Amino acid sequence: MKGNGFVSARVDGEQGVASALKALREAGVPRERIEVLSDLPLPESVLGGRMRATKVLRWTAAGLVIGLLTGVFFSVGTLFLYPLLVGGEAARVAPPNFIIIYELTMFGIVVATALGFFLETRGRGPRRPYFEGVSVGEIFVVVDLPPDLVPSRVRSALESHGAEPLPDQSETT
Amino acid sequence: MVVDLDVCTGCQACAVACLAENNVGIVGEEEAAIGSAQHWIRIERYWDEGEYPEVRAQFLPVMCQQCGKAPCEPVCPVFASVHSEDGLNSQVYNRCIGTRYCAHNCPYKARVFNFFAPQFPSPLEQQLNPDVTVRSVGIMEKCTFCVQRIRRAREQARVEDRPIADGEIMPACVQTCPPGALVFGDAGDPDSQVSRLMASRRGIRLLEAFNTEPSVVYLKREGGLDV
Amino acid sequence: MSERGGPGSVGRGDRPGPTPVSGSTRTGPTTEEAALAFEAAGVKTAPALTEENLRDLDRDLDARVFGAMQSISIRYLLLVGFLGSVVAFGAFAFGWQIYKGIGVAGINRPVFWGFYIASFVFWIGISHAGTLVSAILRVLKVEWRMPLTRAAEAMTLFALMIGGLFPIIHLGRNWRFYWMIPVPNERGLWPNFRSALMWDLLAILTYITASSLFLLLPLIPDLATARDRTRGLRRRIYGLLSFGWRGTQQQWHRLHVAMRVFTIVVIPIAVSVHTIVSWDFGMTLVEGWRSTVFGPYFVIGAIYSGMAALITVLVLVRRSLKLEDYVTLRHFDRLGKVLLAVSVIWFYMFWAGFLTDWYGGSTVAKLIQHEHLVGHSAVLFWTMMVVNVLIPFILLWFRRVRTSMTAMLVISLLVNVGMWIERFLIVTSPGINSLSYNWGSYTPQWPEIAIATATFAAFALLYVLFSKALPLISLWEVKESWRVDRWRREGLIEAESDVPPLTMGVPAVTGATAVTGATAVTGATAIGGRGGAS
Repeated sequence: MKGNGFVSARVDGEQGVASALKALREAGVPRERIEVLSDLPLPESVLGGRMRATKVLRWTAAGLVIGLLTGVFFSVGTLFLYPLLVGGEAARVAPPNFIIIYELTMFGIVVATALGFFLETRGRGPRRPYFEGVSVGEIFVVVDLPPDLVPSRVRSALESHGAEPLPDQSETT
Repeated sequence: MVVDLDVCTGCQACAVACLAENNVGIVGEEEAAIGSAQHWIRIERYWDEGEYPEVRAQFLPVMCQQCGKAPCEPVCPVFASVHSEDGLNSQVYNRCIGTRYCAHNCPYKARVFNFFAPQFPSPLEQQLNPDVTVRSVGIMEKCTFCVQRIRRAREQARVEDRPIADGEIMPACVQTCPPGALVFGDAGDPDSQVSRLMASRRGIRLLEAFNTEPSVVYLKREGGLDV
Repeated sequence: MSERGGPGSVGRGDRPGPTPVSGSTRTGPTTEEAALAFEAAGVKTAPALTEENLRDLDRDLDARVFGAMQSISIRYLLLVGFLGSVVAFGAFAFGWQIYKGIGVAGINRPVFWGFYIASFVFWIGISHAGTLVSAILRVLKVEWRMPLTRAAEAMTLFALMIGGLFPIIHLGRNWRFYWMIPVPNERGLWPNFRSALMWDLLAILTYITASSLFLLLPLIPDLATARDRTRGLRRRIYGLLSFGWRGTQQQWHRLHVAMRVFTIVVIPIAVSVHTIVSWDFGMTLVEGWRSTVFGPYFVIGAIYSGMAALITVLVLVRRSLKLEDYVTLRHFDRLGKVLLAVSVIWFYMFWAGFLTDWYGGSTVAKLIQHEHLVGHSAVLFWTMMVVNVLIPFILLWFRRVRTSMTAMLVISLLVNVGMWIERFLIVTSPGINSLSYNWGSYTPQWPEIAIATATFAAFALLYVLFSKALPLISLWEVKESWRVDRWRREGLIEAESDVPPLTMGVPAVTGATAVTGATAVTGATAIGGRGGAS
């Protein structure tokens, strides 16, 4: 996503977020280029719906399938590798396999979900603006400017709606 | 294997022979006192009710019963306890990591554990059997029906291109038993001595309720020696 | 000087105001009693709090939590030193056991399992307090869970780390434990997946992974806060651990989605773990072990001991970190009720198994029971009955007991003593088996006692270190829950939302003022120590 730099502003409370988002919408900034930084999750109605869908659940589904297949391989597949007889039972019996398959399916879900979460959180291209004020409860709006928008225009749009534009970002994560 | 309880005198010769044949470690008095003696075959002595001298002892030699449905096998996480192709219940020392789960699941308590590295106080180390592994600390072991003798007899028979004769294979305990209470042979051969003895109406299997299908048949007491 | 929590009032990374937390902010037991009265009066929601009040509360919470993390006293160091040396002695005992052979433990034939397996079951049981309780409370949207979840989840992780060591410690050849791990290896052999021990391994692996991630994910925003509030090395470490958390709404949404998955998945995992631990016993042919009730019986036992351990930890943490306003007496009141209910269910399960064994008439099972009731283990058995059944059942009916820290501490410790005995009695019962010639008994030896003691110290040590390294209260969740009521009033969220409002754990002072008729602002002021001169 090629950009034109970032414009950031401090806003005041949930109302501040709502009006800043409105201003940005009017200024023609696409939704997926806006980020709202806060120290707690804001209600979706403040944001006017989800900011962007997450792919974490796809990871979960993939983990489920991989875990399941691994479980099947462990409990059924390995028995085909060599004939080891135990307990006078047939080499391949079902009941204990369900436990292995169950545990590994769960394991797959857990690991894949977390992996998806970390990769999605981490891998977001270039360093993006961050403000330590987030940690004391302030709310910030960060705009990844599209190529066709000039920073000053976005800045003034934000300012006119009560936000407090900040000089170029000081710190990045 | 058949054990005739009418004939057994409880002399413990089988236990001694087994120690010598199978390089079973000596654990010493203290360990034996808490039950950790490593005998692969032991004579269990049970007293009938009564006051001395009007009391009778019964002897029950117990070794690994080489179960058909061995409960010790499925519980081992590392396949150390597995069924061999000739129906023996084998313990693979190299695989064992010492969970001792198999020992718990054996109703006969036939499995013994190397709580310490086995000791062979001099001059016992002079008579270690070269055909048998000397086990290390932390692993499970048990009666093998003297698998080394079974293998040797089978190889001998193969070399001479003949079937194994009945009574040709003798585990150390069977060979030693003075009154001949222990008999070993092929239970699959209807003409063998064990097959005939197993068909006896005195034949029972130990703790049959567990449905472990033991290979050892006991001929229960119907008189015999009083001690 | 009514200040706003917005721009200007708080500088970057500043901690709010001069010494916002001091002894005067807490008003002691009277407030707590008032909080109870507040609940008794049926007031279900906290009084209306403005954003300014909430900011004050936020700051107070941050200051307490981070303040507790940053001060390290001599007493703290002494405690760490003491616990560390107990752990070190346990490690020495383990080394001794490896050097001499597992025989230095008291285990023998026929009691092949002893202290180690009892401890294993015990610690896995303790681990059920955290993740399971926390996840169940999350699923049920129980409002008062917020200040408890983090402390509980940390407990789970530590208990699992310790519990997971015991199967390795107890092996005859500990140095070969990795032969159980199912990976392609030079031996060309996969493990036997039909063994209950393999189920154990996989279940515990899954559980420890799930519970550490379950702890870590909601910790990330708080780690980011910690990153912003520290400098130097600590900042670097927190920065690394917070995985680039910036608090964007996408990230929050993602966190919610991931946590929803975890919350749903973690409950069946936790149940399966202790069921499988029970199957180590239940699947065998061993009289006294093989039982179909063992699965649910062990699960409820795990929850029982876990709840008790949670109460113990909360009493101690609350006191030592001065979190009385967040972990309130009302929390203990509720936890006490849960403990009572679980205690009764535990006894029911115990009785179901006991009666079946007795009625079935198996000689060995009845002998084991005889041994427990009037035999050699009678003292242990009856101690267990008294501390696990009688004492909780008599005492926990009373609110005064449930809200007395001393009483709750004693009861919860006793319950865990009882649960430890229960596991010990079960694990050592093969001393009586089918062939009476082989009966035996078990006396623990010093390495076992040293290692078992060391694990308690290790648990305490991990917790003590954790309390300085990471926020023991989930800051953002508490803050969010404080705001839910206002959001709801302002129509920002629907009445039924994911986030329950926090009516417990809003500092008791606020509740007290609601009862006494003062304004909520005053309550908040008393905590924040600033503003609110209206």
